[in-house]
Amino acid sequence: MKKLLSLLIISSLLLPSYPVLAETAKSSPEKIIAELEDLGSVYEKKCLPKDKSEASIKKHHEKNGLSEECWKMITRINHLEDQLQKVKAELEQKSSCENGNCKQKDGTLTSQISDLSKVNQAPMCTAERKQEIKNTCNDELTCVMAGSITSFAGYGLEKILPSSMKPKNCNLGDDNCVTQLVTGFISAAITFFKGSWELLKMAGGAIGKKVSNLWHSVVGAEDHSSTSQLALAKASEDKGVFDSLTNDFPGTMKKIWQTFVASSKEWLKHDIFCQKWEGIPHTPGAKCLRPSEGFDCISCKTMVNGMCAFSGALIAEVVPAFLTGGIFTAVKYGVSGASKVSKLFKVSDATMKTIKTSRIGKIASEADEVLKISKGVQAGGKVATSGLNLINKYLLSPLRKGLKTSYTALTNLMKGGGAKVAEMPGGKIIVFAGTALSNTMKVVLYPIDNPMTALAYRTGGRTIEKALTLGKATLPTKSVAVVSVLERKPEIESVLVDLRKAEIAGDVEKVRKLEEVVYANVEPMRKEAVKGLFMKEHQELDEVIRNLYPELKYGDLARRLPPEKILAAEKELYLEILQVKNPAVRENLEKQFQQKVSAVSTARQNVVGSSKPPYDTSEWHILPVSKFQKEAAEHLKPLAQAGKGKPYSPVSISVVKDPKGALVYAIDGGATPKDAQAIINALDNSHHVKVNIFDELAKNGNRVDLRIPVSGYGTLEIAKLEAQTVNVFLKEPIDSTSRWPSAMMKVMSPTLKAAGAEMEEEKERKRQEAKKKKE
Amino acid sequence: MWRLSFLLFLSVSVQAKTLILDKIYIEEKEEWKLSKDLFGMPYVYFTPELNGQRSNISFTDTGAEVELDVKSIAQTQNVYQDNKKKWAQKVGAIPESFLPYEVSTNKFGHKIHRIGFNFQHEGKSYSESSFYIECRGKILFSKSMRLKTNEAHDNEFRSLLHTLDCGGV
Repeated sequence: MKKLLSLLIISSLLLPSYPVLAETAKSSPEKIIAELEDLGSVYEKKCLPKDKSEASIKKHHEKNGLSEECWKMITRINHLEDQLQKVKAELEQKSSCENGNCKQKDGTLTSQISDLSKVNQAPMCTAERKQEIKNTCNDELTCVMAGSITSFAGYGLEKILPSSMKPKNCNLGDDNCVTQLVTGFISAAITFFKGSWELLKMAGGAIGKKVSNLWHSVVGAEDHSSTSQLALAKASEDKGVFDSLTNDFPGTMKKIWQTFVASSKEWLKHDIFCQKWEGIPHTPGAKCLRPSEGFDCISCKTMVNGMCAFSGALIAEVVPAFLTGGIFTAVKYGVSGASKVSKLFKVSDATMKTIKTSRIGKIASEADEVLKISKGVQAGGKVATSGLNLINKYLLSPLRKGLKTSYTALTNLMKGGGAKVAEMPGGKIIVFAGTALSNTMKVVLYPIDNPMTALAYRTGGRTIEKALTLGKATLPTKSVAVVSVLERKPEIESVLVDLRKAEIAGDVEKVRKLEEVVYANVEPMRKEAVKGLFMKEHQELDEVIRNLYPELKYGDLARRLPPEKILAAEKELYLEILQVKNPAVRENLEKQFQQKVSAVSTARQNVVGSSKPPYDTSEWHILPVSKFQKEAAEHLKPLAQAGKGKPYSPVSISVVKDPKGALVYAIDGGATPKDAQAIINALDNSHHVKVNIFDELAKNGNRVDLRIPVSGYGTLEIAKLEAQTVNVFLKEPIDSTSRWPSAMMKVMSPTLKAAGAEMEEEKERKRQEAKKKKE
Repeated sequence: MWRLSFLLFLSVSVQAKTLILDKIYIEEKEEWKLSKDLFGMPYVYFTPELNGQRSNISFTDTGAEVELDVKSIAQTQNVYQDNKKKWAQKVGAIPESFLPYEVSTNKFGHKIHRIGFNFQHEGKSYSESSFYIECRGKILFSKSMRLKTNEAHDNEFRSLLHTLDCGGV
């Protein structure tokens, strides 16, 4: 554990975290663990591999770095763990206190408990206290009753509660309130009946005068007898209850009294002083959701005292209903039936108001406060006992193990040096020496200038940017394309970094300006650069375009340039691709080129209109080989022999595409007619297949010389190109008569022009001869 | 002699036993139970259980030595009814009907004023009758309480009251 703690502390020093000091200082372990578990689950899902082994997690972080989102989470987790350890220490200390080994120390929980203790001068309303009150209540009530009865002169009271039943240590003092309530109850239940006839006695008045107002005179006796006899009739439903009442009325009455007090308490708790209702308070069907639990902490004697102010109303309004409806339950179930009996209690609004403002109301309020304190103390105790278990359970959980492993891996990677912050369109990530960053990624790297100190941890903000001091941005591992540029223009690196940052930030205006700067610097030397790249079989065309041919992204820069420049750039790049020796590399590049420089691309159309891309072979026409090879042989042989051309072989193939005859393929090599036929057939398929076949021919010892002027660029360029090659030049005009386009002929190199002219003349001569024959 | 003895025996055996409740004499009923001092009532006599309950009748010497004016009592019986309604409300009972005031004379010539009230309580119907008995210058009070269905007990109560006597001149 110590080792783990040390690791966490070290880690927290090394890895900045999001501090929430004030917040967690008061947090309970439950709250901290709940957040740790929630956060940990998300971190596990988003920031860790499926395989939670140490090696796998380390490899994952090394390869992928740590995103800002994960950074926020892991630093928050680190902070929460730190808080948890503090709480754990406090709980352990508290636990020691309970075992008599208390080392007083200022601390959140300790001080809380101390505070509670100060308030807790009053008896705590614990479960034990409640039980104690419950246990002593009956004796107290009996004492109250006995004391009241002995001081109450009247009919048969000694029979109701013999002095022998008076509990020991029963000392009531001189509390008239107690006497008032008890005698009121006894009167209502028992003694009242005897006195109720006094009115009748007096009603007769003068001797010989008959009683006319009988019903007024006997109302008390009538009510009492009806109540009592109805209660007795109902009590007779149960033999035990009936026998108890009839055989031991005084003893049963004691039980009834206790139940009455208990029922009163329930009624006060759940009705009069209910703290939260469902429905209209105090009405039938309404439910008390939060009773005034403080009554459980008031001794019965205190409660009876508190009921003094409304005892008269209570007796008058409650006892009759209690006797008729509650006697059976009171005798059969005693105080345990109090809850049921209490539902019989109903009083007038005036009485309810009196009760609420009475002393018992104040007592209840105070009792509720005591109860709250008690609960607080109990909660403190629970924290001490169950909190540690909760914390230990979390510390040993598989989730925490994964987090810890991740934490350790990240710490070690940080320690290893080379950690940087990479900024990308998706946000920042912390990258390590082994983190793979693609050359094509829009990313810049920032060195971390400030060390991961404790200060950084404490003062760190939520974001990486706020937590760390970042150095001057650089490009990530430079691609060969960038390197090729920087070799020629080292000063352009800062511009490239600024451009990348502007791209990441989505600053269009800045991107445009910087692109122009880069273009102006790169354009003059890019052909040479790209040639070098392709020679090294570099295949990242996107990276080449981004760094060397930015106008071929057909963006703002391209729109600001003349279309001819764009087409020239396309041609230039395509020609370089086609000169790549390795067929697989070339094919790959060509494929990428066709995707980038697409005729159907709206972006490109917006820049160059409907101009066809250089690879477009859809309108190519192929001349019969036999005819042209002979013609070529005839016309070019002398040129070759004269040393003006390369060694000539009898097989030459020419493919002419484009209505203007601008695109010419010339092959000079030793292909057999059969090979040539295969080539011709292949030309119907696609350009790259054709190229492959040429390569095959070359492999067989044939020399294949391919030149591809790009269509649509005018004859001048073609002438320039062909003038450089001076090999075999066979062409086919697009028209049906297969005539040479005059425009082209004008710009042909002298040699070719002559050859072409001869061919033309020969053709013309043959046509004339044929015409004459026909005529 | 033998014949005389037989007649005396016969006389004693057919004569019902009498219960003396202080100065109140009532016929003793078999299997009934007499209890004293319940809820302040000196005597309560319980019938055997019928339909789940024992009916009961109380006997009290009110101590009042008055005569009752039948006419005015009859005329003001609505007061009795109003009081009963109030009581019913207090104990959660529902009034059903009232037995009209009536006056009769029992076996010993004592005037018995009777009035009654029918009500429901906790789903059961009850019938109570109050008897004010003018017995040798004193007012005795008796009240019967029974389930409405235990009408049979009413005859027993009438029988008790018909044979009720009291000490004194």
